[in-house]
Amino acid sequence: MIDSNRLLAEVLGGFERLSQTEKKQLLEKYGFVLEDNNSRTTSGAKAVHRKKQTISLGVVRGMNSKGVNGANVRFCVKKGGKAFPAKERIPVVAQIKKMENKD
Amino acid sequence: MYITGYHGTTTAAASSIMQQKRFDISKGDRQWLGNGIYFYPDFSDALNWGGTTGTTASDSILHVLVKVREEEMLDMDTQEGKRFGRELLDRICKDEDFEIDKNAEVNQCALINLIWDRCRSIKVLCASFSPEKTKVKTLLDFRTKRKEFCVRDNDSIAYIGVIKRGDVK
Repeated sequence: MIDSNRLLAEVLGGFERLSQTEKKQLLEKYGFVLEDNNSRTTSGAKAVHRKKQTISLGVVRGMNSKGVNGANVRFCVKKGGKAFPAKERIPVVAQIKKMENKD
Repeated sequence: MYITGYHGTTTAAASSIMQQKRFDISKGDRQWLGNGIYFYPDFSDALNWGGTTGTTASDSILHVLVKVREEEMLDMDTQEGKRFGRELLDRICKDEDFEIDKNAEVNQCALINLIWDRCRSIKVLCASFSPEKTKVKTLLDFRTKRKEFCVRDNDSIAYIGVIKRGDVK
């Protein structure tokens, strides 16, 4: 029988004392792909990100103007005022603007 | 204690393993139980290995005995194993400044490699996975699962034998 508390202490030994940068470097060393929360400056982009929604094809699940939840709502991702392909990941400084209802 | 495992492969690879008396370590960023040597405890899973992934089914099955102490084996299917995994993820993700991406296979591999690297006392890790992808997402996972285990290195392997597919009735 393993002792999960002992194992946790082994794995996390010293981890929680590391700086943010050191923690990120360590996790990336093992293969985790990390995304920086602070890089997303607008609440819209952060909300999409936090809800684990993707912006593939510029469509996310959200509430439409009629108040229907789960509708396909189109978003346009802009970077510096220029339309940015929504297919790509949200860039470092991005704004998400609700454009229109698809449904 | 000794645990029994089976590893399906080609005849050429089986001959090479038998000659060298050691396995190559599987490495990659999508290994379900991280870097190590993979076995099924159920012979039929090893016999059918390959057949389910689109390539030809194994024509040789290596039979191994792995010598391991109880405290050196982590079974992620047990309540204790699940508690450990969940707590570990909670603790490494509690930071607000970054989030971990959502690729399940990459995260799975990274988490286990973190455990392998920092828990040197663990020699064997096991868990059950479904060989098929989710078609329709539901809260309950209805897919059948099969158990597999991964051994850190060749030091724990106490015996290797080979079983030919043609010899199995």
